[in-house]
Amino acid sequence: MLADISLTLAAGGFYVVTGGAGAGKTTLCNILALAEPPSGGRLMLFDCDPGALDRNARAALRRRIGVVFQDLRLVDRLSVKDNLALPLRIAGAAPRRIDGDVGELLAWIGLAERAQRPAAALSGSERRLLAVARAIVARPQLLIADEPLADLDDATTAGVVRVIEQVNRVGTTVLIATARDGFDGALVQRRYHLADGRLAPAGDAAVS
Amino acid sequence: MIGDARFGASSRLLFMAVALMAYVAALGAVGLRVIDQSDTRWQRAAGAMTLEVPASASPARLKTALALLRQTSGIAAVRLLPAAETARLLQPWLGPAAQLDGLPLPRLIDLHADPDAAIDFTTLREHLAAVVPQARLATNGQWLGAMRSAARRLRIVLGTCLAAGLAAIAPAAVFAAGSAANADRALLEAAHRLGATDRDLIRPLALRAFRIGLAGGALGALVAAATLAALGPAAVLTQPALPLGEALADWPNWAILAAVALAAGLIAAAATAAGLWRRLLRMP
Repeated sequence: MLADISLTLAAGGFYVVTGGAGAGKTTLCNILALAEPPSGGRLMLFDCDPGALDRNARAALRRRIGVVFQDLRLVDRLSVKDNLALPLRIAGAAPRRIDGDVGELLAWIGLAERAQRPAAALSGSERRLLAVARAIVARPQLLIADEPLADLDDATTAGVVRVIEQVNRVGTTVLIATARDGFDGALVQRRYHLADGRLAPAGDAAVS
Repeated sequence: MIGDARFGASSRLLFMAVALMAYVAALGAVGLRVIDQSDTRWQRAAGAMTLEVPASASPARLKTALALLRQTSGIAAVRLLPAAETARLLQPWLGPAAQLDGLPLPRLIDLHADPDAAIDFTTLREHLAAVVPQARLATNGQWLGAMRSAARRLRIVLGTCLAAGLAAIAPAAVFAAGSAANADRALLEAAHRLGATDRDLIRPLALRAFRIGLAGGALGALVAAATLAALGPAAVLTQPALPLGEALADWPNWAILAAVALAAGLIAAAATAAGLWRRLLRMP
């Protein structure tokens, strides 16, 4: 349950929201990702009120957002490659572009050799890596990642952090909700702390 | 990938259910046409009547009877059969060895009534009896009434088969789509959250439902055609014969069977789309 949340994300910014279990991070991410509607208050995304849009327009808005869900939402029966291609296919990308982008990203995250295996066959950390890759493959304007570093070993954590930071460098707005803050202090524009559904600036950052 | 959303095991269930429903609907549809064709034939036959004038009647009475018939409102054609034609008609009953020349054969008058005319047969029989006391007027009215009454009831039964057969495809498809949506919930939910529109998600499954429905419908229609072919010889035994044996030689009946198969596919697709859409509406 969130209360009195006021959060503005500037284009190209990098935001980290920390908080313990049950603090409301997932609710915040789901609301921003249009996975659940807010029970009150006002949400504006890309200058639109999603609640006032029809279903098709809301779907179009979702395509501008890359999301790493806490429960990953991978499709176990599909191959690693097909899971990664899903956002591009939904966006109507040409098969050649899909093959190129997916192949490149699989190589970058080190899953190229497992491309044809079902997602169910991956280890926990590989699945999280795949979920991160799926969130960025369609070059979203906003990346929302709920616990992208959970259950990762140090090497994979470094890889995921590197991938997300790289995405931000090319202009994607990033919001990370995490219990483990391992992101570069120079890149992070603002840090917030969420406790009992209330958002407060962490350190000397201000809530806008 | 969204097109990978699949019916899985429920596709076989849907296929068999559609085949069964289409079989019932196809029999109903072709049956309705056969009954319509039979009704037309019976109506034509109803107009045909025969007046049998005993051989003992004088030529003058025969002439008067012919004049009376020609003046009767509703009788469109009156023809006195030549003696030779009467003999030919009676030959099968009397046998080839019968010497017809020596027999007192009745004179037959072939009559054709206007199909829309309401002839008062009681009055006509009274008038004929006054002219030729032993004349017998044979009409088809009695059996026709019974046949048309039976045809009306049969139409209701066959129409119900057609409507119920096609209508029952919809719940079967909705059930199969529900099973498919449950089985592939992960893909549907992930795709929805990643920005797929309802149309993106519904279209592939509706297309698959159409293919399954079309294939099941085609199977049902073909089995119905085989049933009609098998019933053909038996139907000839009915009096008057139902033209079931001829049904398959009649191309419009094949068009009806094809239309039933196509309708099965379209109903399966539409019901799948509607069922899936209702589920998707639960997602924000």
